Amino acid sequence: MNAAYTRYLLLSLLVFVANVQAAEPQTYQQAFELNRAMYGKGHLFTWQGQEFSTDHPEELDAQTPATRDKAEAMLHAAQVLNQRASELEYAWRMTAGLLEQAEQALRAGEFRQCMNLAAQAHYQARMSIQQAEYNQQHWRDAVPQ
Amino acid sequence: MLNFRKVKPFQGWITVALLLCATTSVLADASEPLIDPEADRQALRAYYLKRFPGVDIQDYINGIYALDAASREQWQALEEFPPYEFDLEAGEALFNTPFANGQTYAACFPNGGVSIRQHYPYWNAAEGRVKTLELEINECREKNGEQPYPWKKGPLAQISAYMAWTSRGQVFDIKVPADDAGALAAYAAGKRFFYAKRGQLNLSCANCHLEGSNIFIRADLPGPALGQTTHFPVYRSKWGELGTLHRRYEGCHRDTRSDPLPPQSDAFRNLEYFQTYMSNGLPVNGPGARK
Ligand code: HEC
Repeated sequence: MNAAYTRYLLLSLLVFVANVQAAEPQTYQQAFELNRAMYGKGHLFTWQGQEFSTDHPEELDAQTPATRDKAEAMLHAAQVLNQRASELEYAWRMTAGLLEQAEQALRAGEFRQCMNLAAQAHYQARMSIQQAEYNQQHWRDAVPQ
Repeated sequence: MLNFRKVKPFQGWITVALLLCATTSVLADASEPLIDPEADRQALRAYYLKRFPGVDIQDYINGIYALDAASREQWQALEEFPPYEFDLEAGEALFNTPFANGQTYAACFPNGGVSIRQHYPYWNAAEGRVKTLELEINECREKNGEQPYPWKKGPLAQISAYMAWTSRGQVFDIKVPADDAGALAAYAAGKRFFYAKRGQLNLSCANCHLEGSNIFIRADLPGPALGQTTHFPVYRSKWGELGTLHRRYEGCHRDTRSDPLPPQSDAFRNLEYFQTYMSNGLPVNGPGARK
C-alpha cells in the first residue's frame, strides 16, 4: 500500500467520522423524536452529556403516585386542551373516546387507569394543536401556483 | 448614486438597517398574499392539464372515472340504469307538494327553484355567511312551519337531487365578490381547509385528491379535486342510497382520523364554496352515481 493511498484512506475516515458527528441531533426535540421512534417509550438516552427519557411529559406525569386528586387534575387538563383543539377544528377522532374512558375509570376509582388514559388524550390534543399551528405557517406550500 | 466610501460607518449601518426593514415588510406582505379565486382556479386547471394531458377539462365532472379507464367501464354500466332514478321521482314529488300552509318550495327560490343549482353555494352578504342549496331547502321548510330534514340523506338529498336535475347542463358560476371582505375570507377559509394537513394521520384533502389523484392509497383511488362537487347529491353503491356532499365531506374528514365536523358547519360550507368555485365553467351533472 503506498503512502498516497494511506493518506486517502485516512482522509475518508475523517470525513466519515465528521459526518457521523454532524448527524448527531442538533436540538433536544430532534434527539427526543429520534430516540422515541427507535426505542419507544420507557428508554433512556444521552444528549449533550445529559440523560433523558423517551417518555412524553404526559407519560412521565402518569407515572407519579396514583391518587384521586392527581387523576382528576390530569383528566381536567386533557379535557381543557381537547376543547381548545375542537375550537380550532383540529380535534382528532379518538381523543374524545379516550376522555370518556378516563372519566369512567375515575368514577370506578381506577386512578392509575384514568391517569394513563388522560395522558394519551392530553398528548393527542397537544399534537393536534401543534398541527394547527404548523398549518398556519405551512398550508400554502401545497397550493399549485 | 450613493458612494459608500464617503459615508461614515455609522451612516452606513443606518442604510443597512433601513434596507433590512424594507425587506422584512415586503416579506410580511408576501406571507399574506392577495386572495384571488380566479388565479387559483386557473392554477388548478393548469395543474391537471399538465398532470393528465390526455384528459379534457370538461371530463373532470366524472371524478375518478375521468382518469381511470377500468372503473369508468363499470360506472358506464351503472349509469345505464341510473340508481338514483327512484330518488329523482321522490324528489320531484316532494318539491311539488305544498306545505300544510299551502306554500311551496318554488316560492322560496329564484326562478321557482328550477335551473338554479349552478349558483349554489353563494355568499349571502346580508347574513354574512355562505348559503348552500340544502341549507336553503331546510330554511324554506322552517319558514313555512315544517320541521327541517336531516342533512345527510333521505328527503333533503332527494329534493336537492331533483333541483340539480332541473339544472343539468347549466354551467357553474360561483361568485366571490372581490369587494366583500367576508366573502373573500369565507373562500380563503375553505381553501385553507382543503390544503391543511389534519387528523392523526396528518393528511390533507389535497394529499389524496391533488397529489394523490388516481394513485392507489391502500385499496382506493382518490379522484381529482377539480370538478369534485358538480354531480352532488350522489347515489353511492357503498351507501346503497343517495347522500349529500356534506355526508361525503364528513366521511373523508373522518378518514384522516379527525373528529369530523357536522354537515352544514361553517367549515364545510366554506369548503364547498371554495371547491365549487374551482368547478366554475363545468356543467351541473347531478345527481351522480359512484361506487
Ligand atoms: C386518505 C385519502 C383521502 C383523504 C385524506 C380525503 N379523501 Fe376524499 N376520497 C378518497 C377516496 C378514495 C374517495 C373515493 C374515490 C373518489 O371518488 O374520489 C374519495 C371521495 C371523495 C369525494 C367524492 C367524489 C365523487 O366523485 O363523488 C369528495 C367530495 C371528497 N372525497 C372530498 C374530500 C375532502 C373535502 C377531503 C378533506 C377533508 C378529503 N376528501 C380527504 C380519499 C381521500
